[in-house]
Amino acid sequence: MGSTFYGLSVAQTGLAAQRRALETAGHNIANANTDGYSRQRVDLASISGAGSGINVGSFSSGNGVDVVGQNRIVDQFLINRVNAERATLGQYEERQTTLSRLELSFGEPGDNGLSSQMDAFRSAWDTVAMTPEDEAARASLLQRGQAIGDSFQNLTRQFDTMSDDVLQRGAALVVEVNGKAAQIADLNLAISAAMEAGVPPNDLLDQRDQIVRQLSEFVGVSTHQGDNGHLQVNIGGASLVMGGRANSISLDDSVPGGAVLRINTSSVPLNTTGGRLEGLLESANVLIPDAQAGLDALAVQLRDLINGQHALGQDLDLNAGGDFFTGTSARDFALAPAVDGNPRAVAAAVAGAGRYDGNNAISMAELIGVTGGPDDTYRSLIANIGVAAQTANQRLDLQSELTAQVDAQRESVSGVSIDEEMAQLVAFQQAYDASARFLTTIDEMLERLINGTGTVGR
Amino acid sequence: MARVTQGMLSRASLANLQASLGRTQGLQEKLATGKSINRPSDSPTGMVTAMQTRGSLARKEQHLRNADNAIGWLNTADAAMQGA
Repeated sequence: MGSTFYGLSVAQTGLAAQRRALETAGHNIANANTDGYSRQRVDLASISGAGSGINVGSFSSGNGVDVVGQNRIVDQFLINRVNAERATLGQYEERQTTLSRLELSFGEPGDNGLSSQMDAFRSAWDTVAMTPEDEAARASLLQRGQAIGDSFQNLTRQFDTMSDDVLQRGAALVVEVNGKAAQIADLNLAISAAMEAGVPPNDLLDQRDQIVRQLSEFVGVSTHQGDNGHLQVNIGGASLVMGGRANSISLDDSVPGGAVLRINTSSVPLNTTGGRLEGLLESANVLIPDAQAGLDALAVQLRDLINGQHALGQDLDLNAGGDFFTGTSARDFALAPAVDGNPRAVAAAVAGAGRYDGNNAISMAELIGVTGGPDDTYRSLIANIGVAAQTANQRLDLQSELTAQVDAQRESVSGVSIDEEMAQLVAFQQAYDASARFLTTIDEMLERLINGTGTVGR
Repeated sequence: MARVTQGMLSRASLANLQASLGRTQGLQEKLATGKSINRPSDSPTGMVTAMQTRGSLARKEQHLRNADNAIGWLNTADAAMQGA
C-alpha cells in the first residue's frame, strides 16, 4: 500500500502538467504571428504506479502525470526545401533585376533608341545623296553619326555603372552573410548550453532556422545536424559554420568579368548553388558582359561596313574617302577625326564621278539595311535580351509561386492555428479544474480521516 | 486534410492581392502608354516586327522626300524647257 497522502502528489502532478500545457498554448497564441515561429507541444506521459503507487490490494493506480518534454512541431525535410527554394528565388530575383535594367537601358521601342538613330543616319545619307553639294545636309549627317557614337558610349557607361552596382550590392550581401554566419555560431553555443542545462531550446532553434532561411536567400547553403545540437552550415562544400566557429566569405572582383566568392582567404573560388549572390555574380560575369559584347560586335560591324564603303567614294574636294567611324568597340566608338567637324570630307560621290555625284551616299544608305547588316544585328541583340528578360520574368513568377507553396506547407505543419490552441485551452483548463477538484477531494478525505475518526467514546 | 492556419490564410490572400495588383499595373501601363509592347520582354518577336516596321516606315518617308525632291527638279527642268 502506498502512502495515504499520495493522492496529494498525484493531484499536484496533474495541476503542474496542465498548467505547463496551458502556458505553452498561451505561448503559441502569443507567437501566432511571429515570423519563423514553430508551434510547441508539451509531451505528457503517465507515471507508472508500479512499485510505490497507491496500491489497493494487488492493483496499483498510477502516480500521476509527468512532463517529459516540450518540443517544436517541425518537419526538417520541409525546412530544407524552404531554404532551397529561397536560394533559387533569390538568384532569379537578381537575374530578373539585371535583365530588366539591361533591356530598359536600350530604350527600345522608342524614339531615342539606337534603332531610331540608325534609321535617322540612313535617311541623312539619302538626303546627302539628293543634294551632295549641300554642306548643311552633310553636317546633319555627321550629327547623326555622332549621335550613334554617343549612344554606343552611353550604353557602355550604363553597363559599367550596372556592373559596379551589382558588385557593390554583392559586397553588401557578403557582409550580411558573414553577420548571419556569426549569429548561427553564437546560437549553436547557446543551444548546446540550454540543452546541457535541461532547458528546451525551442525558441533558439526557431531563431536559428529563421537565420538559416534568411541566409539561404543570400547564398545557397546546405546544413546538417552535428553533435550537441550544433548545426553545420556549408556553402558549396566549404564550411561556413562549424559548431561555435564561423568562417567568413569575401567577394573578389580583382579579375574583371570574373568576380568570385572566396571563403576565408582560400585560393579556390566558392562554388555556389543559388542565392542572391549567385544571381549577382551571374549578372556581373555573364549577363552584363554578354550585352556589352553584343554592342561591341554591332559597333565593329557598323564601323567596318561604313568605313569600307566610304573608302570607295570621294569627297567634295575630290579626295578619296577616309575613315568615317573610329573605335575598336562601343566604348570608344565615334566619328573619325578625318570627317569630324569637316562636312566636305564626307565621300558622297562615287570615285571619278565628279564632286556633285551622290551615288556612294545611296550605297551607304542601302548598306545599313542589308540582310545580316547592322539593323539585323541590332534587332537580334534586342530580341535576345528581350527573350532572356521574358524568360527571367516567367521563371521568377513560377519560383515565387513555388516558394509560397513550400512556405505554406511548412506553415501547415509548424504554424499556430488559433482554433486549435483555443480547443487545447479548453481541454487543459478542464483538466486543471478537475485536478484541483481531485485535490479538494483528497483534502476532504484526509479531513475526515484526521478529524472525523478516532472519536469513538468521546 | 492539411492543417490550415490563420497565418496561411492572410499570407495567401496578400499574395493573391499582390499578383492581381501586378497584373493591374501591367494593364495600366498598356492603357496609359497606348502600347502593348513597352519593353522587349513584353514580346520579343513583336518587338522585332515593331522595329522592322519602324525602320521601313522611316525608309518610306525618306523615299517620299526623295520623290518630292525629284519632282521638284523635273518641274524646274520642264519650266526651263518650255521657256526655251
